[in-house]
Amino acid sequence: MLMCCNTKRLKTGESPNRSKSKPKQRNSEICPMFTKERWIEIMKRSFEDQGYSELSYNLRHNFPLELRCQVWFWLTEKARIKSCLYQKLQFESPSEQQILKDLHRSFRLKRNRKRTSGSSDSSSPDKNQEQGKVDQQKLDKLKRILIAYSNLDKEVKYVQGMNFIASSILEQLEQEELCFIILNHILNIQNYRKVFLMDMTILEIIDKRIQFEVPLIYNKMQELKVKSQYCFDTFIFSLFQLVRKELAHRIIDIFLLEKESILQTVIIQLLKMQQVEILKFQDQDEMIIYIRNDLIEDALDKLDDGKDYLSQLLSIHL
Amino acid sequence: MSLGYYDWLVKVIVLGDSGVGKTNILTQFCDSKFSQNYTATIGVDFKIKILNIQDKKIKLQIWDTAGQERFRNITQTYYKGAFGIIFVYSLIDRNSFNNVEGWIKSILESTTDEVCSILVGNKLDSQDRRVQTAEGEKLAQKYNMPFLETSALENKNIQDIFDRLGQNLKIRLENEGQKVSNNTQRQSGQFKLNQEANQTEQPTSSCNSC
Repeated sequence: MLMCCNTKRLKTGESPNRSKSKPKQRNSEICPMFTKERWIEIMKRSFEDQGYSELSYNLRHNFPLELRCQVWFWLTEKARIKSCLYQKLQFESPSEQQILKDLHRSFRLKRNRKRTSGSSDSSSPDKNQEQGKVDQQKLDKLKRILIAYSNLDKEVKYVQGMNFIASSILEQLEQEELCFIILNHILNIQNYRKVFLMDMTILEIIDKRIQFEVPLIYNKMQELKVKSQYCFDTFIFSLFQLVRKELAHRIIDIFLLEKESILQTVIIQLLKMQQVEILKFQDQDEMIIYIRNDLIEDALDKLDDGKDYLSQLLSIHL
Repeated sequence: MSLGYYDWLVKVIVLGDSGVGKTNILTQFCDSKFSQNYTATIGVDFKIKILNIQDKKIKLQIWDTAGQERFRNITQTYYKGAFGIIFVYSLIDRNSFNNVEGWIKSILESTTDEVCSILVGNKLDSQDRRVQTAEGEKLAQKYNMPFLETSALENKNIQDIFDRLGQNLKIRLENEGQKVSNNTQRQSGQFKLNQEANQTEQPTSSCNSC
């Protein structure tokens, strides 16, 4: 059993420094809480000089929102490029047509939620009202960032889903070149580009984690013959670009240090929070639709009552 | 949550190039909505809708696929068990029309099962037409499938896509139903007949094998 747990930890990519067998409170006893001054102080050195566990804990539970721009810049030092390179990458890309198609559908705008979970047997006309439009300047920036990346990474070029990551970064940062550096860090340094080469091993890891960490849901999925792929294949792109931008940005905060394991963690926590509801399903289709369309919002609705829901979702334990 | 009683459960996939309006067609059909700002479909998306064809209810399990070439390997894993296919191109995007045959061939290569298909030219509302109606008709004739031009924006002919597809599905399913009653159970798991007329609970999905 012990061997099993150790194997699981290694596979998920979580830091081996964190003991999963210890309760959550234990971390706060070990890890000092960074003050704003402390964050500023440690950012004067390389992030690699900072203890991993300490940094990981503070990124989750004590993140300096007002310093996000600086923290992102600090964590992505390996992805920084020569200042002239970004401009040099602005040449015609073979992906340009696809990028242009996707620009207008890169930003997730708030819409009224419909509780039918994407399924419908009656048609009550519901005039759609867009609740905002993305300004052209932002779209132009997004286009240049994606063109630059498609020209930098000749193997991957541009693949749909990158626009979600880039647009989410853009919603936080004004500086176009810095956005490009953050995107480059996620895709190249943290090797998330493999997903855009259709390496979907992350889905297998999620499946394993569900089996060990939410076994009741795993058994239910087995019973209804619901594959993880059906439920979570879009999560690996869309978690970066949520209507709840604060959650998407908190995911990026941690991704920049810990890679994709944070996506797995969020999915596991969402499932834990909605376990009672999920276990009620008796139908394969409805379970898939619920997880794909409603899981995130339903979980977040629960946590909106003044609690620090973001920290909870990002934690290893819940 | 339950959609209640139905006679047949059918898996349908929607194929076509990126940006031709696949998601908007489905959202208009399933939710009576249209948005210029739907986010691009990554991988696949999934919707359910009950279709009433005469005295029969067909539960459609509709898989909306990403159009970008890179996702082809992923979307092909969803082809298995599909009984209805909607091929979509954009009337204002010549390339998307030229690529339809590629999509049709990808289905022919991936499945030996007989499927009900329909060809749809979307964005009829646009003034900048690049594909003539006769061209769409000719292509549909070549592959022996019905053809429609639609506008998801104006909700024009959207219901017709599914009515036409549903009619053909019903005929096919009734024929298959006779075979089933003769041969007990279909082996391929391609679709499933809901044979208990008074059943109130839904049967297990037919997608078990996909």
